[in-house]
Amino acid sequence: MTHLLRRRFPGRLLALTLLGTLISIPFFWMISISFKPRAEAESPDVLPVVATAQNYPIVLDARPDPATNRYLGMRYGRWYYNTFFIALGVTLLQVLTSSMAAYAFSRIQWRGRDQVFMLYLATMMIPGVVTMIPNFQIMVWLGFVNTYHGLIIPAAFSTFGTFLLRQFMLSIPPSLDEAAQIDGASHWHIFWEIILPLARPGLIALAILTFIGSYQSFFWPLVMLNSEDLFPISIGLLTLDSSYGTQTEMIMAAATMAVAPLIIVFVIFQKFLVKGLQMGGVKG
Amino acid sequence: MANVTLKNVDKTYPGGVKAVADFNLEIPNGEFVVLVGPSGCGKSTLLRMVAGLEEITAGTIRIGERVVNDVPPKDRDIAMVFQNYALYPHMTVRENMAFGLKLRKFPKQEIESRVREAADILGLGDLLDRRPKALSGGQRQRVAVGRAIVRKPEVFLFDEPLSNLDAKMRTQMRVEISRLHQQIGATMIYVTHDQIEAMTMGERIVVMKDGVVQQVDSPVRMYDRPANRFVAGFIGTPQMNFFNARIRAEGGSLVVEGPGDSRLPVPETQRAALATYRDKPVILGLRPEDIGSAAAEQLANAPRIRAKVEIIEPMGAESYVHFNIGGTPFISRVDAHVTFQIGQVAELAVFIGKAHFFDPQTECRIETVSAH
Repeated sequence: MTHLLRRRFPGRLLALTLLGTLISIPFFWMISISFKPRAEAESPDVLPVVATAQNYPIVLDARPDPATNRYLGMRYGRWYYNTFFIALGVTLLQVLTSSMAAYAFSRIQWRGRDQVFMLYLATMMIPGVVTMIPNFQIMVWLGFVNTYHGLIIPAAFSTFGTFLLRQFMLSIPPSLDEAAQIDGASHWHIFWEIILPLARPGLIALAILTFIGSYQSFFWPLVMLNSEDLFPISIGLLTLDSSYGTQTEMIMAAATMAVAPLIIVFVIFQKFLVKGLQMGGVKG
Repeated sequence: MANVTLKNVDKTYPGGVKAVADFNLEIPNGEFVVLVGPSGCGKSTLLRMVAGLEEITAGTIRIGERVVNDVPPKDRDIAMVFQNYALYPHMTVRENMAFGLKLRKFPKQEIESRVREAADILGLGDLLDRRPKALSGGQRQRVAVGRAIVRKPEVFLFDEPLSNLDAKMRTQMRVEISRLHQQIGATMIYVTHDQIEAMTMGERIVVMKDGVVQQVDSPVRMYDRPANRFVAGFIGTPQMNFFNARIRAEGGSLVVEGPGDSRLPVPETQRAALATYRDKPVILGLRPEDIGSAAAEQLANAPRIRAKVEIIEPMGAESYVHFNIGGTPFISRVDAHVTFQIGQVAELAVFIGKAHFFDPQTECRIETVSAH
């Protein structure tokens, strides 16, 4: 493939390389600064002159900050736990609800199905900030403010997820459902034993996207949480900035650690993500 | 085992499209019935209605003594083999076959023994742990049949099961399904658009067109006595030749005045029926093997027609020769050793005793009832 690309579209390859480099610059910049000592932190050098890993133990609260001789008091362990707990909960529930909705929208015939689906899809057009306040109000009524469920439940339902999986399920031949029906399967059996296993690439793709999305979510947790015990990493990082002024190298070390799990997840599952999103190629 | 009865069955789709109109058929226990017709004739719809995958608009469907109109597919005691096999791709052959039994909570040993038995019948013993992806088309179809037979249902439904196979495989599977029917003796309803499958497999054939039954008969009777022009043209390859003709009285007898000024005597058995058509047009139907074939040529006093050779298709043992007579093309099935030249005008014997006559308006068969 790479050979082909190189031979046939040298211009395209160049453009992609350039774009890739451009996108990567801030990322490498972040990593580079995280290894710089305080004295170099604000310098424009691309690489640290004296590389040091000391920022990491400081951020992790294993060592005091040499500048102030005080511990930063960051609770990385707790934040990781919160982030993973919330992201995994959201992912699990969202994949489950989306796949059930997708099944209803793709495998069951009911009057007005496609109209309802279009209406449901139309909700994707509404920007999140518009529903932020009403959603928050609902959370207040439910007593979900400053709880895990306040972060997990509203994110457990997704129009995009339903859409993605519906398209996926539409590519599975309907004769499989009919064969299963004759074999004696109920809708639950068909969903659970036939459609879900066949929609696996789609489920994995949605799970990865949801996990990443939830991991990165910032504004909703910011609105919903005030107890530091519940903070995910995205909010936790804020404390660094506000309590100790701007210590760029510390922030960068903290940020690098924050994105590291995501990158690992992405590298491991990247293959599934690509496969899952190439829905056209799915055969039943 | 059970008989299947369809009474006044109608299917109209929302939007008013009529797929099946007033369908009546009684299928006795153990019979192999083939529904055949061109695409869109309603044959698959009918099968799906028997399966319960499609609701019926009117009428009754009975399996055994039970009216099954509102019975869900799983409780109809039927099994169906689909055109695209519909095997569960994520399950092995064994799991595919066992799925229905598992859902019906059969004991494990019983499932295993039934799967084994079916696998033996179909020669799938070595493939039980494979996934459908790793099987050839013919093997997949066999698994689909296996999935049906493990359940030991009252009725088997086949929806064009051989359409996705290559010609050689199709011939082989045709024989296998026929053998299976003899072996297990269950009632089978088989849908196809291929008249050769219908002829070779069916004990009875139902020819359909535009949702309406054209004829229900045994293969041989259907071939020999097609009820109308459509059936006559549909059953048999190459198809029956049709000529616009006119019945004339001549010397106290009747003759058929055909294309190219040909005059053929009306066979004695048909005289009574054709007497009312004197000086009226009819459609004369002659099968390719009844013009210029060895059998026709050997007849004493066979009437003859003169036609021009246009194309010759050698098939090995025989040749299909395309002729033209007075602007009407027709095909004759002749022995391969009889040589014709393209452009030659040949004189061909006609087996007039086997001629078919159809009314040009109704396209129905004209015949003397007592003759048969």
